[in-house]
Amino acid sequence: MSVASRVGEDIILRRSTSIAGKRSVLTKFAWVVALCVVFVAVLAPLLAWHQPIVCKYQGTYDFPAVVDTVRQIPVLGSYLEKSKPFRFPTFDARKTLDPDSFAIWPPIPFGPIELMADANLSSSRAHWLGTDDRGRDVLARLIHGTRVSVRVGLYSMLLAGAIGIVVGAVAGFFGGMCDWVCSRFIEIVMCFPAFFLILAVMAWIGEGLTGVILVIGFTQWTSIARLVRAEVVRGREADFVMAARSYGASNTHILIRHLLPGALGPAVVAMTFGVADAILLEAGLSWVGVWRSVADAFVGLDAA
Amino acid sequence: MNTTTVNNLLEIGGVHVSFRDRSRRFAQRRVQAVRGVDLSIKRGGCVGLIGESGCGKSTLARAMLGLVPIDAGEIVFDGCTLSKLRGAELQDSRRRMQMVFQQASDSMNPRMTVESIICDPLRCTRDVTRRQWRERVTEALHTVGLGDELRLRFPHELSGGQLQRVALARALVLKPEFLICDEPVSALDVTAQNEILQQISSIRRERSLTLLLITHDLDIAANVCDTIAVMYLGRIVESGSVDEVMNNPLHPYTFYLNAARAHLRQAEGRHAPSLTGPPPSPVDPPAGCAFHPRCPLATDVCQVESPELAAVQGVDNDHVAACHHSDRIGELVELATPSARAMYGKTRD
Repeated sequence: MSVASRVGEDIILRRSTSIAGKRSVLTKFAWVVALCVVFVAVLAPLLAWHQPIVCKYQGTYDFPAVVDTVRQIPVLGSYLEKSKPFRFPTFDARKTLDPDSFAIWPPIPFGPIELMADANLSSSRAHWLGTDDRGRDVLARLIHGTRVSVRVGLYSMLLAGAIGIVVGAVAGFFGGMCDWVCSRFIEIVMCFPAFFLILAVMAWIGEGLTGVILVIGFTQWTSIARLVRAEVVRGREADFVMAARSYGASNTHILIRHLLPGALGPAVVAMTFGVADAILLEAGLSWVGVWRSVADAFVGLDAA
Repeated sequence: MNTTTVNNLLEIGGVHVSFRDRSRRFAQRRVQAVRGVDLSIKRGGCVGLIGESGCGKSTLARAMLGLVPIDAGEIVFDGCTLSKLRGAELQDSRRRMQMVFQQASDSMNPRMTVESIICDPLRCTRDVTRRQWRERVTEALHTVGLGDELRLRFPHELSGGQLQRVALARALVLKPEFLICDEPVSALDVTAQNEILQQISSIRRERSLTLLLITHDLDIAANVCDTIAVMYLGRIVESGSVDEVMNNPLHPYTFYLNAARAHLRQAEGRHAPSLTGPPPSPVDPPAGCAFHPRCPLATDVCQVESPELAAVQGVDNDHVAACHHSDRIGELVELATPSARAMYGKTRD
């Protein structure tokens, strides 16, 4: 079989469901912004950390910031051992002991929880956005805060999207009693205010990012479900669905190959808005102080 | 199983299909789309189903595929009663009978390419392995006279004739034994019509397909089919071989269809006999013979008694009509145009 026909086969398998058309400039810009945010979130320790990216001390090389970046990877990361702490203020002092030592620092050589000597500094060359009331570098906290926000936004909306698409598709496709039950269920869930539900859950299972993600995911899927349901209802009576039935397509086949590709567009739009909402909700929660960020917790330990 | 069921690939008897009348929500009336149809289609035969808009042709076709539920009657495909089949068996039988839908563009998913549209039936069956998909799609495309350059086009990028060919290719890709074409060429210009019809005929000969061609155009049916069934308001009112039905109609409705065709051909406007009044509503069909409000031959018996399909004395036994006055069709000729008279004058006094 020639290469060309292989390519064709691939297209048979994949292209039919692609939503991709010609991307506009605006779409490209949006992608760039979104990727920048994800990039900052994933590579946060390389951008702002209290340890160097590369350093040589007493003849051995160390990569503390890189190690910390890799350690974020869920399962694999935990095999890596944490490197020795090389703190910025102390490193210069050690330099006098070992003149050969050197270090390459991240652009912002402060961690998000590191207490500086001075609180409430205005912006300077050392602290680009100044320091907060406890003497922590604001830009470093901003960069590391992105990680929490992106995690909450993405995971909770992945969960919400999964629930919403399944419930919406089932309600729209099977109609009748099933639709009625699903729709009423959606309306009931819509009545729960996520914010206060999170407060309750926090009180019940204790504070943690997982709890926040789960509660947002389990409450914010309703608009996605309603959009998917509407699209599926619209497509269900289409001629091409009847045609598909006539050549022996099963319900699953019709849903997955014919109806959901059309419904996914609006659902993805709703999910992107949902990501923003989830981030705001999380920000509101941490402002109220219900769920304190890792950084705050460490500060608490330090203070103790 | 007797010999008739073996000879006949499809046999339907007393089929009724009705839908809820949604225009009047609280009235328990139903639109009676198909009201007791008997039809048998010989293996390898080609039947033309003719009738005006709304007479239930498409509904009958959909009922044959099991796409709409039937209220009464039975549809026997190759010895199996379709209404008794469930789930996988039903899906299997559907694969043996395929349909080309009326609106080719609507019957295709607008987000799929031609290639995946034609490939989709193959995905639904286990008989064809993934490796064969490409080969089968190519084969189907070539059968209907389309080139490979269309593979990655979307339906909206195709012309009417191309769309119709893609629809045909999709119906053929599973190699069905029985093909229903629902108005396959009604949306096309005359040259494209001819090409597609020739294609359908030649495919039918090559694969010894059994074909049901639904159309409102007598000429098309006459060119392609060997048997014609005329439908009026959910019933078959006449059926027989093409020659018999065209030259020697036994039902007034068929007569008028023929006359209108002759009239169009010869452009003799003024004296053409034509049906007066709209077709009656399928929600509330007239008592007796459904055609009687528009029929010049109607008598008292027509208003009371619904005629059965029956052969008329002195005519071929396969040629049946549901009319109380089949023997008086000749009287219609007196009302007809010279052209129509020329066609029918010889057959009856």
